[in-house]
Amino acid sequence: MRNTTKLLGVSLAASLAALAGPALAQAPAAPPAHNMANMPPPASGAKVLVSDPTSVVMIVNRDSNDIAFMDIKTKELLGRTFLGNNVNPHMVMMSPDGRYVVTGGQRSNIAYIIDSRTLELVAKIPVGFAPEHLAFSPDGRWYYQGNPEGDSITVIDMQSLKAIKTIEGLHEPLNITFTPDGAKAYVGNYGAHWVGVVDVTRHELIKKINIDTVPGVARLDPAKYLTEIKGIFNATPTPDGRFLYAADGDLGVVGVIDTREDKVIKVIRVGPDPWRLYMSHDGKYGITANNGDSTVSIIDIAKNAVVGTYPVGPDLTGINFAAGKAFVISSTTGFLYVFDMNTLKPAGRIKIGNNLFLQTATTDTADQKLYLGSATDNSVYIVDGATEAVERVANVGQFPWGTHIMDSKDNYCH
Amino acid sequence: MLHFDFSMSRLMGRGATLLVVVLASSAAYAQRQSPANRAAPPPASAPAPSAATSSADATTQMLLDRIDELERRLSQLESTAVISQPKVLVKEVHVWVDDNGNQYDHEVPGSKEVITYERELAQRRETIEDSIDEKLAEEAAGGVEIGINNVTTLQFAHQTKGDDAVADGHAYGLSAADITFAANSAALNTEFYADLVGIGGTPPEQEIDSLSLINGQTARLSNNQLSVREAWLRTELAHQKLGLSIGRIDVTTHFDRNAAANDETTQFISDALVNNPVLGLGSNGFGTVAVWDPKKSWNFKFGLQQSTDPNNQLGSLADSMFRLAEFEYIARPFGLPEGHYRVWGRSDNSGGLGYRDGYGVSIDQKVGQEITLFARYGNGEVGDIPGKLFFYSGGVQFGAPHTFNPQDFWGIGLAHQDFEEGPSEKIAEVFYNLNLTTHLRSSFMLQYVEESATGEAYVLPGARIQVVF
Repeated sequence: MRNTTKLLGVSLAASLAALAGPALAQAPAAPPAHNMANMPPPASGAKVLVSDPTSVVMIVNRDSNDIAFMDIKTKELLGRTFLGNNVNPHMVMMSPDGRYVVTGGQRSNIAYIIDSRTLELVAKIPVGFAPEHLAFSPDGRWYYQGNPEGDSITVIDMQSLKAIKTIEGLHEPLNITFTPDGAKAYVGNYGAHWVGVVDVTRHELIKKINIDTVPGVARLDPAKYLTEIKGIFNATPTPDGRFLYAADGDLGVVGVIDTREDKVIKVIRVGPDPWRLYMSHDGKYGITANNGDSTVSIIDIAKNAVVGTYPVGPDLTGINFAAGKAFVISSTTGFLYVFDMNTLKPAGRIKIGNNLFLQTATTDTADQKLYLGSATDNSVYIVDGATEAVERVANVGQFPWGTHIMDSKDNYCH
Repeated sequence: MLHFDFSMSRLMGRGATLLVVVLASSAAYAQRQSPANRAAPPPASAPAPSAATSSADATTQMLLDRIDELERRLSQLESTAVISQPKVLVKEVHVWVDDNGNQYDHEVPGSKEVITYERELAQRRETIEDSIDEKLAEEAAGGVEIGINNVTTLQFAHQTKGDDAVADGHAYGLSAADITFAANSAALNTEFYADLVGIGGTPPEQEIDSLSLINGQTARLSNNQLSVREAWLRTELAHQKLGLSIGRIDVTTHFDRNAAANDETTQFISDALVNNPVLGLGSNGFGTVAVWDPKKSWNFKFGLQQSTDPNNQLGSLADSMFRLAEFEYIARPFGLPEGHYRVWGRSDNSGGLGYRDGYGVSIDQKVGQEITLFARYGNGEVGDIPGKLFFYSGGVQFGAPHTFNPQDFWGIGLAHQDFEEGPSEKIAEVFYNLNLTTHLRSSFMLQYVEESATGEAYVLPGARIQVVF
């Protein structure tokens, strides 16, 4: 009864917000400034290594247990922040104000807060089990750390640098997406077929949005449906945050969620075992990486329909957009498959190298270059989107499996 | 039982020790975290006893929370064993070596870049499950992948036209089992594939005199024999844009492909809706296929194959040479989703009449994500048959949501072939493919066959079960 009252209260608040129109419901929170020139000198007296947070690529090195900071212009490493043995950091992200860099230690169950100017480790915060992917609220106040093997999200207050709450009741929460106004967060549950809606004011799970029903014939196939769940990796927003696209691996569909009403307005069938949907920077197309048959499905966002399905390589770990093209990462083949986003047709492939284990990439804010982690040769490959030239930066750390650039439109993890 | 008691006593002993440690550490933790130690002044207006009670409650709650936290961590440790020792990895590294054998990690004058291998220690904490998965994946990557595919088909013939024939009212059954072997070397961009097929039973064409096979599974295979359908090696060259396959090949797996009408085990069963008869290929044989595929909107293929039954004791490849070339283009006409447009030409001297030529087209075009139109056309001289063969086929395939289940699909197709100086044939077929499980599919077909040579026509309902592992 108490829960029902809460839900009704939240629904009423959401309805009032929706009635007030999109300006109120989705009003973007004021973006925090990230001009470090105005910040006071570091209290620790340590040397400032990064003066502009947008000037560096952050690299997550799983096996050397550090975060490396590479200058975008010089391609030189400015420093590393060692987190401790057996931490195995998973994903890195800079706070919206550029003050902190955070990561979760997948094997230490700790969130690490790094001063982005001095690269000093300033806080270690116990979180849930096996922290992986994370997100900041748009105003930078809340750091949501997903703990997929603990089925929870730890809420960290970035003012006090303390964990204030654990959101339970999730199933392998892999990614978190905040609305532009910061009022709600959507959680992809890879261990289920629903997207969780979290009220950010109270940090409470208030709703579960079922993406699609499991077909009745699934009961004949316990080998597929009862041994492992490949549910929802994330909910990818349109640039205005109005709609979310949540791919479901087992069901082979993408559910389109209207964030005003928090309901599925369309289910789009794509290829088998879609990993997630990646949104083009102009918001016109979304692409799913279908690991079931090594294809990609291109979705026209205006029509909410698949307009192209093309073969690519196996073991897809990510898709980046740059220079009017999409670059699809085939992890084990060493190839990037290229698509022209004007013609929506294949446009060749780029060989990064042999015997590589490619990971994920971020795109610079000019939408021109990709920074691709390559785990087995401890390198980051810089790919020019226009010329398709490839440059290697070696010895960035052991097993670099993620990169991040502040304000990039392609900051994701796998 | 004894073991259980022993374990329990050990656990209880550990538990007692742990409890003492937990309480001691919790008390110390609470002491550090208590409001008094944080120098937070008590509310001035609050009476002293109340403040003391409140502080005690807070301390108790903090202790309980701390115990909960430690119990949770203990549970995690007990439930998920981890391996914490450093992991030894061997990495490929690029180094520079000068004439004196001095090695550098960067280029220096007079040095040359070489690849070498070095041991590296990684501080990676893995669960035992991670380690087992990793080893299994390594094992699978280096081994031979074996696949099994069995298709059993039952068909009935009902004559609708022509003089009474022996096939009327008869049932036909056929079972084919494929065992496939696949192995690959990612480093060399090379793979090996072999397909052994055993087929047995009575297909309808044993009693129905048809131009094309009514059950396409028997195409290019001998009944009641174990056959090597394919055994080839494939490698990729020229920055992996050129794929070369060599060995015993079925060129129809490379040429005249069609997204909606290409597989007699899951789609149409009539061979005229699986292959273009103008290809005129009698059997699989030794051959090679080269594919230039830059992974753009087009690709080009060229193939050579021995085209008649090897049991004919041919003198050399030149005695039975089948040459084939194809250009494929991916188009998006009128804003539709992708379509594949292929045009091919072939030359064949297997009929003993010198080289005879043919050409054809194969198209599949999506008109929506769930609807695919297809068409084939062919015109040419085939084998030793006088005159030319004219052929066309077309149809449509539907997927979800126009199906019972999301993974089902069904299709309707028509095919017509006509020899310039001989008989003609009309075929129509509708099928529904029901996906029951990952390994089990069932299909239902209804075929109509009309042959001009005999003046007979038949309706053939049928069913097909496919098991794949």
